Amino acid sequence: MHIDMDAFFASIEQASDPRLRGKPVIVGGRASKERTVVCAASYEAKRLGIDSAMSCAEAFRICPQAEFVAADTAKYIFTSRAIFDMLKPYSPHVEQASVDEFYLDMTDTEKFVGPVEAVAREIKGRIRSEFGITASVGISENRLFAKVASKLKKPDGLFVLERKDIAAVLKEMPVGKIAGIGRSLTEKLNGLGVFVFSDMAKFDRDFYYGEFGKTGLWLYAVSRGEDGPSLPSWHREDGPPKSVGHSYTLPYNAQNPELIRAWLRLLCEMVASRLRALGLEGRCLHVFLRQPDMGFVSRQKRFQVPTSDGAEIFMRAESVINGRMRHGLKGFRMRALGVSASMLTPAGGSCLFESERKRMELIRSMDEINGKYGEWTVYPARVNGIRPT
Amino acid sequence: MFNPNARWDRKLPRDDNPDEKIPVEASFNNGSVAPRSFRYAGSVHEIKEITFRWKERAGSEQFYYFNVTDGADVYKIYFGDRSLIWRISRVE
Repeated sequence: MHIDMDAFFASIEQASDPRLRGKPVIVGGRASKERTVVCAASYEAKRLGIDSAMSCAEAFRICPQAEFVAADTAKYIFTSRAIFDMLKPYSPHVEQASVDEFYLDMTDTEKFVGPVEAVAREIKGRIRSEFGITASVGISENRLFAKVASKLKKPDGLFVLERKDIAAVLKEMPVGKIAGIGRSLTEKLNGLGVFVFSDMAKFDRDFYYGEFGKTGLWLYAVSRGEDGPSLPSWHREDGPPKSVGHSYTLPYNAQNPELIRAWLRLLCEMVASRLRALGLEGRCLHVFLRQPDMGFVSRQKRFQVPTSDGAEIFMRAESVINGRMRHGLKGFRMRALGVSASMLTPAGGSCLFESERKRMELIRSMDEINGKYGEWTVYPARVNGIRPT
Repeated sequence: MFNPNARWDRKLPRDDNPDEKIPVEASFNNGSVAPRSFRYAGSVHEIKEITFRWKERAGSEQFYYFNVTDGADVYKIYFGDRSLIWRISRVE
């Protein structure tokens, strides 16, 4: 069973403020609607052609009377977790796939919780009554087609997609709409004359394997209504990532080098913290800085020793910038920046020098404090500089 | 598995400007708190409906947030379980 919340952020805002109900609502990434993108749009806004990732400026050109609300992440995360907790009694295997998507393995659960369809109706009812929002539910034999099914009757839908009906129901579905088939794969399939789901049956296993390798085996399984064992890499959620990065578009153009460094330090700490959470260290560092005229500087460098220390990553980021930009950050105007670590290896844990050992202990303690008392309890002082004065 | 705590924006520093303290009449019952009325901008606002509630931990303090309406406007008010102070952070 796949549960997909309908326009999650926008629906929460409509539930929070009765005056927004029934109106086109745009949830923006930050308080200013001038320089941000649409994080979520209500169904009323979607019907007008507004959708996520569109710039707010464009969204307001389409619908000047749309209501704008700044995203309240804590509220969405709390609600997401509360829904996840609510789902746990229905299945021994509940998985949170994203902030607004959940999978439940309902194999052999009927004698404990009742028929799957009745469970889906109960869950939908509880989400509506407890949170004032709606969800669409898809039920099928496997994850992939459960997810496809949840999209078929949005919003507030429930669709049971049985194996025998897959070919008929999905006959005209564009391949790009199938979860796991992204833009590049869609283009390749289109090049082979595969535009809709029914076209996928044109080729056999060997053809798919020859054209796409392991991904081809998965595509072949999909064409037969299965979610095959040979999943492409983006489906393997247990596999380590190839890179860990963060980027941010500033709410203003920054020219002060210290301010830019503060933002750089923040992103380096975020990358480092995620690396540590994953038990990884990175050797290669990539930094990009975008200017207001949309020109950008993008540089990367490999280092001898991998690291997951935010301060070290920051020093490396500075050296990457200073090594490639003649005057460093002086005179540079910045609109956005990003930091990404790659060439990742499992964290070693052993230290050669006493100073290194102390540093590792300090980082571990910081992580423990932030883990116990909430993120952002202890953080690098330089980051305070990102607050404009 | 998706980890909501890994979201980058949780690490952005909070606004330095503290929200305004407000006196609130609330009921505490079986571990849950429900505001009933509050005084703001010189008048008492009777809460007609709590439209949404959520909580968030910041450091050692747990904050209980409420979107409430007095029938005319929607307010975001919150209560810290260590400071025992109610504040108002947004008026729509």
